[in-house]
Amino acid sequence: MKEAKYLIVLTGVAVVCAALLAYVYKVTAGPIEMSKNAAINEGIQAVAPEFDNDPVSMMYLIDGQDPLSPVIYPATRGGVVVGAAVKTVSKKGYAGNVVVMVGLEGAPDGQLRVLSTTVVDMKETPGLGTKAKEPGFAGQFQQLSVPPDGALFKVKKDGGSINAIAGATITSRAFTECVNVAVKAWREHGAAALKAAADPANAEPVNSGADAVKGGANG
Amino acid sequence: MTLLTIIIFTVFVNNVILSQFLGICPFMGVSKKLDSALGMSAAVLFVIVLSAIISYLLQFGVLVPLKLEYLQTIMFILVIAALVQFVEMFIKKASPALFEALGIYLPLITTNCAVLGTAIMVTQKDKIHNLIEAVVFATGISLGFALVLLLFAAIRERLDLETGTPRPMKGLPIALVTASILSLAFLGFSGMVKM
Amino acid sequence: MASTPLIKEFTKGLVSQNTLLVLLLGMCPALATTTSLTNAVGMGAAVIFVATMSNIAVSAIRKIVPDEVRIPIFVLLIASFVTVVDLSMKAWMPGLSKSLGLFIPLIVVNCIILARAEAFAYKNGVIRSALDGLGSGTGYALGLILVSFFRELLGNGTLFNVSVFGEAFKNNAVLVMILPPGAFLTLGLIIATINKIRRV
Repeated sequence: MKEAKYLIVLTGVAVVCAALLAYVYKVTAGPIEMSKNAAINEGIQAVAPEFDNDPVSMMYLIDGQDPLSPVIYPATRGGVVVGAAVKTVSKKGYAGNVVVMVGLEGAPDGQLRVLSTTVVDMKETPGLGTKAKEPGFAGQFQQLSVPPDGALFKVKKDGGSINAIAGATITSRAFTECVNVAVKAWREHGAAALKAAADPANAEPVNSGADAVKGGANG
Repeated sequence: MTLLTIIIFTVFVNNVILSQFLGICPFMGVSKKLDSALGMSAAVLFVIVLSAIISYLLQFGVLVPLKLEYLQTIMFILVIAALVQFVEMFIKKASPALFEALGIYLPLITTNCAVLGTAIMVTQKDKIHNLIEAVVFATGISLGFALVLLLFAAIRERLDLETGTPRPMKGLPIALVTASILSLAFLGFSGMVKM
Repeated sequence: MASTPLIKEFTKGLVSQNTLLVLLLGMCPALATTTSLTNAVGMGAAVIFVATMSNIAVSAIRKIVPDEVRIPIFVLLIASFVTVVDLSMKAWMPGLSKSLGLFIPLIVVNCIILARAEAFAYKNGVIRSALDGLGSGTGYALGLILVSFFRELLGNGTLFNVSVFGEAFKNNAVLVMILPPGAFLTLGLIIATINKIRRV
């Protein structure tokens, strides 16, 4: 019966392929998981003040239901809060979401300074919006004191002091918004984040880490 | 983000052929004449939308719950191959003339990057949130494909009669350069809507 | 056929029957993944792997695969190797995997692989088929590298991300080259040049 032969060969090949893939999947699952977190870890390392804790394990989502919610990674040294890395998303990018990891120095209720920033993901125009990654623009946010009166950073066009990228005002605004949201997040939710990290059993329910990481990695 | 935004995004801002580079082979092959371009577009629309629906359901109904996401490529391409077989049989019965006109290009829809590409894209949860959006997205992709195919067919009917084209440029190279200009024009839509 | 020296099976795919520039197959990735030489080399390597492995696999089981079900079998095998590449890249080359994005899984619909399996591997021995796959894959990779050479050099002023013309050029490079129109233009002009050389 010819049909039987077809079925046997098809099934045989399918089974062998499935077995091969299951094996490769098992072998690669670990490294894949690690590389997902590596991007976030590198971002935190690059921007946060010197710390000796594990910010990712102390990660705090402001709004578990919102995949674009800011994520706070508190940084401590010797048990004392030195600042945080905050991952924020701005929907106001030119061609998509702009995701920035902002490094803040200082406790939530004290004097704050933006230490450094790094772009986690953006889809902006190459050569224009992508200049936001370069020191010419991002450098303006290095070691930048945060006004204690709660005033926001703004681009010059909007009355502020940040020089926008020539021809990429929208991207510049989105990036600036990310910094502002990060400061606001740390100010308003920093204490709650630290509390949750210290006392995980009684913390507010937070979405599992994977969504936040994925949300960031995919912009 | 509304359904209208999705349509505008997929047809103009992020056009499947001119921005995403999917579906180039059939684009170059079928766009020579207006009527085969039309027939192709209709067949592609049908296959892309149906395969997007099936792929979406397959991904979130079977692959994700069973943690078999790594089988996505295999399952999707098999679904598409089967779907194209059905479409072929259907067209053969319903309109033998169209079947003749499309010829080899019908089974080639299976290898059309746009079909598999769309199936994969609708499973990316951060862009597409439910089945309705997936259907609209797939429809938008097909409409974008059709738009460019028809635009191009109109241009190419003229181009091939043109005797001024240098010999090395005839055929594919001049078509690619034309596509380059079309793509440049479509770049003007960038930033109009976001997804 | 039997008198063709083995090495010819490999070299024919490189120039005279170059998959991309002569046979004009697999254009989608040639436009999408050639924004930089690194991407092109990564993509080329992936295609070489899949083309060679699937040719070997198809050739190895060609005697037991009935004619009527050969296409689904080819697709199954090719898709499996593509998945292997996809998972491996995600695990050990995540940056490249993200840059190439969709186009790694899309290798499965790259016409050359199915074409070589059908036209050659199904009818020839394993060693020859392996060389044939290696040759067509490498030829394709060379095509990708050629396109991306021009695109990255003119569009970014760099080769493999190393600045060639200096910072001033980099800030004012021909941006359109790394955008979609530049892709079509570069590929079109390269094919035209090849046509002229071949006196087509």
